[in-house]
Amino acid sequence: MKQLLLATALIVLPAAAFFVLMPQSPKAVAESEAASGLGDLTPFEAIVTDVQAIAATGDFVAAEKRVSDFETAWDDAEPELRARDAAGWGSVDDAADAAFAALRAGDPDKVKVAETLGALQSTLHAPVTAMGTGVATLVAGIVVTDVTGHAIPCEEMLKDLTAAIDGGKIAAANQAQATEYQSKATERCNADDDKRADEFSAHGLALASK
Amino acid sequence: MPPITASIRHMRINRVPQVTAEFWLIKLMAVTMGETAADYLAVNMGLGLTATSLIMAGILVVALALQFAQRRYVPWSYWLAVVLISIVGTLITDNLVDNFGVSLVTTTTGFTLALAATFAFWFASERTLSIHAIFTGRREGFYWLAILFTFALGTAAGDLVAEQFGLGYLSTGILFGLIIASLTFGYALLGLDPILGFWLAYIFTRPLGASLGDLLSQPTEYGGTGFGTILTSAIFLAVIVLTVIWVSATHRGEEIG
Repeated sequence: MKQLLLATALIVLPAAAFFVLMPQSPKAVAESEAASGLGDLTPFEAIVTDVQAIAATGDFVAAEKRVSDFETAWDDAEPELRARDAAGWGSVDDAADAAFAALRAGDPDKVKVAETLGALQSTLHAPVTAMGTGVATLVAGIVVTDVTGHAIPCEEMLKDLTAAIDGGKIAAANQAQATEYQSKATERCNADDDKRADEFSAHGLALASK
Repeated sequence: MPPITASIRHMRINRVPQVTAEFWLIKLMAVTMGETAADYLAVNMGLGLTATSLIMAGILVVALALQFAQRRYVPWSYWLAVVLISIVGTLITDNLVDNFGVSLVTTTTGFTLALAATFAFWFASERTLSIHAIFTGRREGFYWLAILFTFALGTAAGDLVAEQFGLGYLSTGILFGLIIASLTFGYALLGLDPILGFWLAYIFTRPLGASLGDLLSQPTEYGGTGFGTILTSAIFLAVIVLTVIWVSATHRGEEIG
């Protein structure tokens, strides 16, 4: 009994010291991340508000210019945001793509532009995260989690992607990109990072339907 | 040598190595090698988790048969069994979590109980848990079963800490390194039971080895140093092979009970 107490103390004390001496309590970081998912997205929301205001005047050229600022900032933030919450990032990215497409159409449709910008704004406000949504999460239109938000085993998704590539289901023009997604997914899957591996696999599989 | 002396020697030679610095060095390297090899088969070769688990379990059975056939400590056979047990122990946890959706809290608790039960049966049967007196098949059976559960438990506990606290590879390595240093200190100065200390260190070297391996192999954008899995595995394998050759040549680690 005395030995067990000694052993427990020898394990708990260094662990406690580690967490006390950590520059920032990792538990607090984990909690704030779980609460906000992607963190503070208000700068992005502000740009979208601008774009909505400009688009409402019917000046789609200026609106397109302003939305390019969003695109640049969003692309710059991609590695960090994706690392925080791949599913949340994916949901905003898809909404942003729809808004870009609407604004960059040859003759932009005012209703469509307003709709897609509104959807982007609400997605930014509440990104669809993999946690506790109660429905399977989609990335690029491909299911990447089960209904409880648990990532599909990355080995399974990779198998599907490899089958799609080997089976010639991906157009020649997209082959290189699909193979790149495949190697990135493989690399993440090796690191037991199912969530990000599935994200890459999903983007690869999405190419099969193009 | 007369037959009777041979059979007495035969009975009393410890079949597992002494616990020395090189023991821990090979053990730590074996952990990472094991994980990388399992990942390579499951992911890069596209065999999937289930097929990989079955193949590795099959190879493990062969390696254990080889090990049980030895009547004394033979480094290559012993360490081959450890590397394979490391792979299979990791795969058991991965399967439970990824394929059966068992939570890491459940697996951690479950393997703690399984390990405790193994020690209870071991002690009830042999009246000792000594790792210096493994000279019957039954004791060796308990020894390897305990090792299998320490790997499964180490994987579950390490993943649980990583998931709960979101620590980087280096931080995780430092955390488990501190715990192992503390246990060493307790053993050297505070009278921690050597057998208890040994098994606890055995559990915690699993997450330590895994985080060091990830730190070296993972790309810099995910917090690693970007050596890649192939180079990292090659370095670790080289360290294992050289150390095993060295202990074989010098007969270090042998122990006559």
